[in-house]
Amino acid sequence: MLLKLCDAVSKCLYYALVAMGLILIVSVTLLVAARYVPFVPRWLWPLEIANWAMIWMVFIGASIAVRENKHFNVDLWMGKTPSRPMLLFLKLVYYVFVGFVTLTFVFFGYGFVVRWAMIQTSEVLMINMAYLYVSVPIAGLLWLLFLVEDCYREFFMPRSQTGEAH
Amino acid sequence: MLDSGTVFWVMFGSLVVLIALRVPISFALACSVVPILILTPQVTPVMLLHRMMIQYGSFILLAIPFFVLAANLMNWSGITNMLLRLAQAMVGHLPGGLGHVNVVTSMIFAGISGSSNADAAGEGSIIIPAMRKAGYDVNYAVAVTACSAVMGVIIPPSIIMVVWGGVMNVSVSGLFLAGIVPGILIGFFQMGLTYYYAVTRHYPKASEFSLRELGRATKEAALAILTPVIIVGGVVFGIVTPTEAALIAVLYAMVLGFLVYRTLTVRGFVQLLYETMMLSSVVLFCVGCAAIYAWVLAFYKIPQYLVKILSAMTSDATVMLLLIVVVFLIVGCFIDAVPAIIIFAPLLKPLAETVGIHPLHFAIVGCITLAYGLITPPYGLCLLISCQIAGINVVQPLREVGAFLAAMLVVLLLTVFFPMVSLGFPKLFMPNIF
Repeated sequence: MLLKLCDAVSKCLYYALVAMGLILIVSVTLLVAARYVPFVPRWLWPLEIANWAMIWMVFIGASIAVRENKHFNVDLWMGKTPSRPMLLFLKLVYYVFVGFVTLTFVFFGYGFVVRWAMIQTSEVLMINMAYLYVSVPIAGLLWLLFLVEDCYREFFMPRSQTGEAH
Repeated sequence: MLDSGTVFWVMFGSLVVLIALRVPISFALACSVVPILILTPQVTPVMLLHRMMIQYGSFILLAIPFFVLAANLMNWSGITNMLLRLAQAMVGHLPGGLGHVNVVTSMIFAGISGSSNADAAGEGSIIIPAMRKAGYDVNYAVAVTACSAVMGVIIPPSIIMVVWGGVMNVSVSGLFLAGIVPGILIGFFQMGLTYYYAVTRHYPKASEFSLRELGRATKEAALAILTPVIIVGGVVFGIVTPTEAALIAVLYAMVLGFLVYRTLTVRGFVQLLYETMMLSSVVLFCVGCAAIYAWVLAFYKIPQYLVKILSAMTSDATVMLLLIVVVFLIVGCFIDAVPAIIIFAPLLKPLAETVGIHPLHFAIVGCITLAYGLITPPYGLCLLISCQIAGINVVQPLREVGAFLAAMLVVLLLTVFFPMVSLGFPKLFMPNIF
């Protein structure tokens, strides 16, 4: 159930990330074209769109990277698997500290949206800034989901299944 | 208000401990500001989140996904093969031909791509097996592949230079210009060393020199080699900003892949776009967390505190720059160049300023030194990738890698002692930034 949910969410994030990439390419193309091609109007909105798409891209991508374990880290064990107790300890440290950042993002991200962003609109398109800043608590929730999934795979899933799932 | 010394040791100490315990660097950066937050009511998490958003408002950071995408598209479209053929026609007739081909291909690829890992992976998977077959020592093949790939982030365009420019407010165009001469020098030094190995170990030529083959290979690769001309030329002459140049490179690579070579499919493009965007967001998320970290450091005047302690050691610019090189070389052994810049460059910047090192000189020396971190174990990605392709242990090629690294350090020292090596081009084309 949990794994299915995570797979479905990942699939959505995959397309969302690709969409952000396309939006980035198109909006920056419009910006560049406006500078060098005489008949392209010099809109300001592509700049804002590009900025929004980049921020959303960062948080979506960072969420997928939590699931796929792609964030930069330093491996003092140089690729060798540490002993089982050490591994458990490292996992625990990982859950505690990443989980801590996650909860900060959820709670304060929510406050950020409600108290700071809702009352502002963007400079060019006059869109409520909440649509942008809500990416922070959403990223937090996604990390939480993937952390729970990782924890489940690590400790609660029957051993026989872990091989297939990875 | 806490005093600077305590804050520094708490933040830096917790960061080091968390990173050593394998917590991802971006999360470790975010975590290590927490003790300070608890002790200081003036600073709230919401302020820090806002700080992160301001950092993402910087247009230059958009160059990162675009440069990565352009390199991936080029790799996918099979231009690596064309470049290899061109390099073979140019230098294949020298003793140790394939070694020279390896270096020259990396040099050309460096002008197209802003990432070294793409070079090590793309070129390495073709040339390492070929070198083995031709009777080269596998350790040497791995060393030359990994070490030449380092040029990818020194010869413009370069992702780490974009990160440095974005984080530290240094002109990225200026950095691109500053990287040209040291990058090419590294290539020549590596070819010199390759020549030495070829003579002492009796490595064969790869082919006879033929003007006709050179012409044919040039014609085939012509559209691809135009990319560095577009990027570097556009940035040098101030026609486009680095971000715009990166976008133009993407569009150009798409035209080549979809229309000219017809090797790119929509499906492949979507997959490449996904991988690129994910890698870029990992980098950018790290940049965002570092913005928070750096802001708290600045709030407590930590840089000034460090200057007070460390400037007592030396007031000579060159000695200070050498100290910085040593710090970056050590850091580079353990951390990737991007997070290393994000964590250490803002701390070292005021030190460089007080002794009168030009920000651009500091930046280029820092970028080159951290690029060398790509081949220094235990965590040198280019070395790891090359070893993986060859299927050998990382320890095996260390003697050859050491020899190449020594040659590369000579170039680094030249850059440190003679600022004109790196700053000559920026002074010529962009006198306004001096």
